[in-house]
Amino acid sequence: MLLQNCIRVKVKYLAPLFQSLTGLESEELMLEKGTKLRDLLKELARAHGEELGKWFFSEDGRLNQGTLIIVNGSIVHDFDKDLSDKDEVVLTIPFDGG
Amino acid sequence: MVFTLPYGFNGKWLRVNLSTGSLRIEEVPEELYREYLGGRGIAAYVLFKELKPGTDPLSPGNKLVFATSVITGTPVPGVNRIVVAAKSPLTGTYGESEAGGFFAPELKNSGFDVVIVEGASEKPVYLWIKDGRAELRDATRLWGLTTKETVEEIKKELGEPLARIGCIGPAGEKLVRFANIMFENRYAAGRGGLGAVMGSKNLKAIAVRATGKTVKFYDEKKLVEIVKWFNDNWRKQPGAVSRSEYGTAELITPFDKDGILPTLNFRGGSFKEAFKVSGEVLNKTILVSKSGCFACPIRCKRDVKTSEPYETDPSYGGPEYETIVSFGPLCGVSDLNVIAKANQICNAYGVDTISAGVAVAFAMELFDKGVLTPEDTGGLEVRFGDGNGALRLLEMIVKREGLGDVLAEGVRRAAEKIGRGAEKYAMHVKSREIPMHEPRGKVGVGLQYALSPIGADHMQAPHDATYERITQHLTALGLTRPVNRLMLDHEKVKAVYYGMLWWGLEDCMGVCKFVFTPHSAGVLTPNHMVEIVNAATGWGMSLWSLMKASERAFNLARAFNVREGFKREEDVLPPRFFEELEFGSRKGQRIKKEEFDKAVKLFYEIAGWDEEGRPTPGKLYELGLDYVVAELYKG
Repeated sequence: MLLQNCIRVKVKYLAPLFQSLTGLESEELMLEKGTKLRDLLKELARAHGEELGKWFFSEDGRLNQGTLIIVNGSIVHDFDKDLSDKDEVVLTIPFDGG
Repeated sequence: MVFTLPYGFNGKWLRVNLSTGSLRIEEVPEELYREYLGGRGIAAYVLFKELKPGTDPLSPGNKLVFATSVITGTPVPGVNRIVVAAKSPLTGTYGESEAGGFFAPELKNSGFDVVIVEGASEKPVYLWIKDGRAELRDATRLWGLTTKETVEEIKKELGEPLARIGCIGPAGEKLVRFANIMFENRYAAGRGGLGAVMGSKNLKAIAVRATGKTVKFYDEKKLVEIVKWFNDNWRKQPGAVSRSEYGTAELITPFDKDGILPTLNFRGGSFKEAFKVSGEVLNKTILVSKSGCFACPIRCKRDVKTSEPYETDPSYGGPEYETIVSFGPLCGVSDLNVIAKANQICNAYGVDTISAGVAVAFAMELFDKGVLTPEDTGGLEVRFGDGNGALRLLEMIVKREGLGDVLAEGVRRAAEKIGRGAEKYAMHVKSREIPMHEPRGKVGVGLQYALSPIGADHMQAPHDATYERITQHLTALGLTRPVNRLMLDHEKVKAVYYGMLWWGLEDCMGVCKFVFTPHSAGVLTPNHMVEIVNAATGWGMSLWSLMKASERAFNLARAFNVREGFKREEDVLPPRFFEELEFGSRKGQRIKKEEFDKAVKLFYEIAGWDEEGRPTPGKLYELGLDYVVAELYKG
């Protein structure tokens, strides 16, 4: 990957469940231009294990409805969203009352 | 004519008159269950029909209702909560609280769907129910005991170690206005002071035991299929796994980062030491084991153990999210040991942890602002961050000593008594203390606080994050347009209204809000609810007819309050929520009062209420509440 083709994306794990599986509160990834959200999530699952991946992808391959993905402050429903340099991706659960 | 037994219910209510000592079994027609289902539906029906307007909640004229539902006793996880209701001594409104655990299925299997307690006994008694028979027993020697001691003594006296027991502690006896009813000294019907109603009646406890099953369900095979589906699927839901792993305390770190963690009596929304009281730290430090309720594999409750000087007993259960925040960030306290101790004091003496924590935080702010001084309180001074002081003040509340006696009346009455502008710091709606959810960061929660029939409550409708994405679970409820958590427009008002009907249905059914979507920890869907009710009863209900039953119960509770004189001006929020958050990641955020007032007005219109918030005759007739029309519009 050439430097000029590289984008840096920040990933924040807000849910304690995701933090425990990654051992991280946040991390930054260097990805190739044109990387889609789906590719990022696959990369995270590869890096941290399928136990994390199952919270992103349902058995039918669709987005797991129990996980909330926020990119630059906006909720994302589309796995095919293109990521850009300096994007911030928050992975959490849409926590309700307790 | 062949008489067939109904499916899903006993059709028998136990009516106990403590003034006369009479115990009567009433046989109730199936139609009533079809219209009211159980829980809130039946309780609101009884209280509207039977209570005289203006009844003093702590007088013999008040009635206490323990209600199961047509699905109580099924093996489905999360559908076996007991619903308790009476006119609330804290709010003066319809009062209701629900508890998990094991009491509800035991009661129903003992042969009674509902217990109504009326009158007052001359001396302390407890009610003992076993397999369709009941008696009142002397409780003089139990008076003054903590909840755990009471449970142990009753089991010993009866020789019934498997009896399920709901009881009050010393705080209920002393009529603390937010005294609760504890089941097995760890599951609380916490809110609204129902324990004080028991205390006023000299009723120390209700013990129940069923050695068999009295209710048949229409399609037991289907119920088993649903249980299997639940067990096969709950581990696929991140929210359910998270709740199992961390309990409700999972919310603390995300809420802190989001700036919606109530801190220092709702002055701010982030707490610099939040992580110290988080579910993650609780797991690593004081957790002994997980525990849960009848038939539920998620086990979201915690057992904890701490040591001197804050020694606790795991059998009282550990602090949950609401308790951790009430005695933690809200009071500026970051020691989980102190919080666990506060939780135990509340459970042992029998008071609501939310109201108690808010009362302590209120006093701390009064000292901070100079409204209270040590001269007023015989030398006592408790400041934000003072864990020992918080515990001392809590003990004074549960024993009604000194300043604690004033706070035991709830923050609204305490502020009136203290004067000097104290009401500015009293966080309540309709006298009921605000739970640990910051409406300036999720404004729909503010709407449910104001419009709940029982005063400020966070379990009336799903919270705003739920409505930000349209999932299949929201689609089932008829919500198809996403709405941002900070919006208070017509879409949000509609979402909150539908949300209140959905969670209201769960209160009619005695269902745990966590196990059904669209709650973030949910596993079962709204459509499962229809399947469960029909498998239990064979009635052929739809989500439409169930939601209508919930709307019926909601309007009954509203009508009860209207009849008590509650008007538009009580459907409000404390002024602090219209001011800016003082600190935290949402610093500066506030609810705009004009927008909020407009939203309340729109809610009335959507609900079919007039400008004063009275259900209109048209709405009441639609719901089959003819007798309410006759009562509210007489003359």
